[in-house]
Amino acid sequence: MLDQLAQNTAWFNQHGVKVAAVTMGKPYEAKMFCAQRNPDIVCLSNPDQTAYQQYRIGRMGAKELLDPGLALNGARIAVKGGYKAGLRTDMDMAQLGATFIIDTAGTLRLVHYNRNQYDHPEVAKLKAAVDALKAAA
Amino acid sequence: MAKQNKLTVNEAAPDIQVVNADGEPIRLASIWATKPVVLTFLRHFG
Repeated sequence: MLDQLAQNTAWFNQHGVKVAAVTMGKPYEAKMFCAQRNPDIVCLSNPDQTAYQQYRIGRMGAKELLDPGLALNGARIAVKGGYKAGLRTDMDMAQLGATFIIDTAGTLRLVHYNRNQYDHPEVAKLKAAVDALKAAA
Repeated sequence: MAKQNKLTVNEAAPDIQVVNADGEPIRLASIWATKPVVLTFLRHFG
């Protein structure tokens, strides 16, 4: 998801919207990770996953964790250079992701909970939500 | 543990403290205070 957002951060910024990413990594890991993709992304760290819990983001069950695709996807990302040595052991592979659009009043304008490890919202859907937000302002 | 309902559109976003890339505590509300934000929670670095 971050790669898609990184490629479109300029569009969001031009439309008056920030892009922020919460990771389970340590701050320096998050900093390196985001800086490699787009320095305009606000990179946040939440190793204890309290934010994930407060935003009620689910976890994968045994069925999903036993999916051979999970290992294959991990291998794919490792080949791409997304995984760095030392990062994996303290991260929660069962944790799912999610994406929200939040306005300046702190109201959720878009909510997308990833259904599985492959799921994420289409960037076009995020852009449409931003356009709707701007039109309503 | 009881399963919690998911957040929905038009609900208030939880304003909690996380840590920025420099290791300093930051409240999420400070991020959306001046501009709307696309806030994504990643499940891994990749």
